[in-house]
Amino acid sequence: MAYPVPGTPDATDAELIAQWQGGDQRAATALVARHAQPVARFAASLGERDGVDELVQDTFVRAFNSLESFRADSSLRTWLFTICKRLVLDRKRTERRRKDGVELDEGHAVVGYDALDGLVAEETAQRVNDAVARLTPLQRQVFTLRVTEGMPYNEIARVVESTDGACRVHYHNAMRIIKEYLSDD
Amino acid sequence: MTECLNEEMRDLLPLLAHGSLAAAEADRVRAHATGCASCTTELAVVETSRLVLRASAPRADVAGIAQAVSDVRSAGAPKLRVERGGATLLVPVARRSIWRSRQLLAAAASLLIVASLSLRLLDRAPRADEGPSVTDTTTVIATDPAPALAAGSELSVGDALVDLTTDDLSTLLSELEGFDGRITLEPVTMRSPTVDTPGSR
Repeated sequence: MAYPVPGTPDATDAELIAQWQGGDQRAATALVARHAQPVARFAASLGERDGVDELVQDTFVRAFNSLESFRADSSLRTWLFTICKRLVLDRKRTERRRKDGVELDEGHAVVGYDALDGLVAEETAQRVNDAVARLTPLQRQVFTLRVTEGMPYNEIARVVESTDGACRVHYHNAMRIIKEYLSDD
Repeated sequence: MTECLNEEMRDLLPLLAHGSLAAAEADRVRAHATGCASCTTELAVVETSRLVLRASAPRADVAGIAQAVSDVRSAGAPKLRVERGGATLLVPVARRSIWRSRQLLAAAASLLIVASLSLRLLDRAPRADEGPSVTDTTTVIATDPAPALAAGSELSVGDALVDLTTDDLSTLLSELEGFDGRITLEPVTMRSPTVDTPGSR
């Protein structure tokens, strides 16, 4: 694992994968428990609002179906994000074809989920969501991966298919836009 | 407010909020942020954004996903239940691919066909009611009209030769020895050789 995941058992992803390949179903459950919520957050940052559950499930099913092809040169989470992103793009292409050429906003911001858990005031949450909605799709992905998942730039670059340096620039631009928006409010 | 020029520190603020920095590095970044107004503000933005984005994302159905993964595995290779260290493990049984199995089946079928054809050919003694086989080419010319084999004969020999006496045969052979390669006899009616193919009878 390229970066630690707080609050999880000691077994690394590689160890859990080996256990699952050895037939231990509990290892799969542990991997899902460790990574499902970050994948759901990432899916949300990609503009997915409906069917996130299904999307996350598809991501894991595909991943477990092709675990043999997983190269440990990136973290499992990065690989899952990559699969998730491809699924989202496939969905959008299908949707675009279905709507006969009607252009969709690929990076429509996710707002309006109600499960705020009382951690932040609703008004603050709305302001942050509005600020994030002003970002470009790429800025939003980079910002989300950096801030919510604590990913290093090189892993983010793999997910968004860019370079470390470009991701760094996207992050700082995103941060500047959000700070400006919040200070104007 | 002017932004902090220490980009290294600013870069590490999200990792500090995430808790993924080593203790010593976390202390260093925290110490910097405490004394830097810009980084204090930015850290607050990072932490608030982190809370909002994490809380506003839909909840993943971990149990459902784990079950789906389990179902995928169940539909895959057969498994062997193994007790190991007090736990029951399902060990996938190695299985040849469908393609590999088909190759083997095709090879076995081909061998059966060849063997059965070979047996039929070996078993088939030429019969009087059959035309000559293509292997009888040398006798074809002399076998029209339809050959009539002597009982027990193993060669397809036509009437014209069967009826010859020993002297006649000797004469014929001596004439053949003097044959210069050109046929000077009257043309005979030739039958096309019968080619034996499976299913042709």
